[in-house]
Amino acid sequence: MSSDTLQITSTAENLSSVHAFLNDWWQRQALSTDQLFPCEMALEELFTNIVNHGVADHLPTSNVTISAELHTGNATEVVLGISDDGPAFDITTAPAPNVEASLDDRAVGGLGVHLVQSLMDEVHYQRVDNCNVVTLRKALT
Amino acid sequence: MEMSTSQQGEFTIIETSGRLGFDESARAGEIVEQAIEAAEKGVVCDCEGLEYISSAGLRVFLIAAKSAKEQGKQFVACGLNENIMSVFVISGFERIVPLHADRQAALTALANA
Repeated sequence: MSSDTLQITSTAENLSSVHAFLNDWWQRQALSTDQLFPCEMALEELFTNIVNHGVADHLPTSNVTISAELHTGNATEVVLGISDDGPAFDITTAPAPNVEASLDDRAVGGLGVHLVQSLMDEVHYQRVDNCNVVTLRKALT
Repeated sequence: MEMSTSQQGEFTIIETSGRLGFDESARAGEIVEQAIEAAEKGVVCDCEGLEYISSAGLRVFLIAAKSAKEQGKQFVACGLNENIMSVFVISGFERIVPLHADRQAALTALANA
């Protein structure tokens, strides 16, 4: 199965390219837009995390590769990949925010990773060749 | 993202449409903050036209709720679509920002608060 890829640096300005990449790919696959929202949001959360936290101290930016692939087996699913060459960060072990906290105790932030894990069917992390490689799966129903 | 504000009695309505992600969140935060400061009793954020939100957009709602509370004002939202509602619930934000079905329901609840 061939996949489309986007290669960019981790600057906030490039977030619009991430959205455009996924929307274009989605349209070319002629998929129903039902599950576009969670996929788009997941990529935004992971990309902005890299922009804000995933850059080595001595470098201006990290290099980011995003891929999108359609798997058709028993179920049709979208498989998204996002990898970066920044410092190791395993999103699957990030502490969950306390979503039951009251307004006064509620911290500003920390929600992005929680949303990705809640909205995707599967989230995998690997450290490969000094890169963080995250794979997201979302079944299309 | 497009936000327009109007007055309805003692309350300010912010009509919000389009996208509210990282790229739009700074501007949205400014507009909401100004609306809360200017409001007499409270603000209704009408999200009927809102199509997309991310955690950066949620932060706008959290900061607004904190700010309104500090000023002794109300901050509620209404008209969330199914996707955005699910994001609010997963994040526990329905505990932080009172949610109503539509603008009328929100104004009725505020008037009786």
